[in-house]
Amino acid sequence: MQHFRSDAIIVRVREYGESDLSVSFMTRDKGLLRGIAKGGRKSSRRFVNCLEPLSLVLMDYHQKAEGKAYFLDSCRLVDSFPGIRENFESLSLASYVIELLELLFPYNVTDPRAFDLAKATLGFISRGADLQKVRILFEGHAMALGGYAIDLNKCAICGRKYTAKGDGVILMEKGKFSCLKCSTPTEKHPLLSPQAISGLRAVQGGAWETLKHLHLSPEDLTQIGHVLKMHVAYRIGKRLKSAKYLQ
Amino acid sequence: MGIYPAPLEVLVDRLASLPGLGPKSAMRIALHILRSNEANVKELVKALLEVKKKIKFCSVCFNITDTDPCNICEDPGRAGHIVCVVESPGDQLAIEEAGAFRGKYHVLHGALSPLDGIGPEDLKIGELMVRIGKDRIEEVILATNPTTQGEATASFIARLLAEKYPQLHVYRIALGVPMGADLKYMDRLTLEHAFKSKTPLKT
Ligand SMILES: [Zn+2]
Ligand SMILES: [Zn+2]
Repeated sequence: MQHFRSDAIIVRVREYGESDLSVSFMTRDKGLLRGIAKGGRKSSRRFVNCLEPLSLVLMDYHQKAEGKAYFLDSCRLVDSFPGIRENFESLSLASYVIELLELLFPYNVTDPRAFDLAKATLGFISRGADLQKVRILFEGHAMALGGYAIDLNKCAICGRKYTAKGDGVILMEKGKFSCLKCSTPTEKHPLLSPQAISGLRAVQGGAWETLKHLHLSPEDLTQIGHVLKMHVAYRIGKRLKSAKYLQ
Repeated sequence: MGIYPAPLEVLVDRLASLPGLGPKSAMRIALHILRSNEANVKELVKALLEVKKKIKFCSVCFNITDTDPCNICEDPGRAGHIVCVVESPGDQLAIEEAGAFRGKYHVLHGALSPLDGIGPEDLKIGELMVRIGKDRIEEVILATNPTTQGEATASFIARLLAEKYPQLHVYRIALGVPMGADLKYMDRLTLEHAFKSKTPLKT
């Protein structure tokens, strides 16, 4: 029998059998896991207030043998992110964060940075940060961590290095960047200003502090948001349940 | 192929898919049915079909009922201007059994849960908005569960109500230390809620 302790974000909780709960949770060290909380529905002091979706907890759990089911022993609440429950927009974005990460980092795919991103993003939402900006920061970095970064350093067609001077175009179906000499902007090939390109580069790298110094206009933010929304739709190829509730 | 005869396996599967029943209890019930005499089993089947045929939702409060409107909505002895909003018929039943409330109810049939694709249009929220105006409701008590989804649902409805009916009194049920509990054993979240919803003592 092996015992573990991990920082975890509770993802889903389902009733299981007569008195148990089936819990999926995202850990920092082992990625997404599913485990059974024995007696979790009846009580108990071991899980009090902890097994709530979108809460950050410190989880103690065990596995009888490698490859077998996990069993939750107890957990302690670290942060319930109370602001998330204060309005539907916040709950929807928080749900979207978890849903997208579930798809990018499914069972057996572990990246501690994905967990850190989830934790940071839920914290921003809970503290009442601007949801449009939070979404951009999250989507850009999550997609890059999942291996879907858009290479903004050179034009994917002519190969010329991008020098941060002119506008560019994103070829959404390919997830690639093109200069204006090689492609014209269309609905599927949205235009990005040089500022928006720098912004997109910063969010993809998770360099959120850099973003503050870029002085992005509302138009730049809209451009980045639009590109990221399409990028997720093209790469994931599946409509996320929570996406329809985002503004 | 399973270790049990196929019809028994099917029954166990069906029973195990019911909420709160695991495979072991499902098997226990299935074996009990197998041992019962045929008349009893027929009564059970009849009861299952009748409940499906005769029980419907009250067109006013959306609780389960065999008359429309339901007994509670029709009861002149209950305060018609106060509505308690709950997630499920089970929650309504618990409040009713406690005898703690003598107004009317509104059953939402769920709570907001974007992760499961459940949004406002999937709940009886629009119907609540209409009902408040039509039935001249003066007070609403939001008694959704103190869970992530229940809290978000209460906040969402509270905001809609404040926008559409600024005169309406809207309350959230108190969250905090349960009766008979010991403060030493309370967790942080419960204590936080308890202090947030402190009430003045009448002397
Ligand atoms: Zn080019
Ligand atoms: Zn009714």
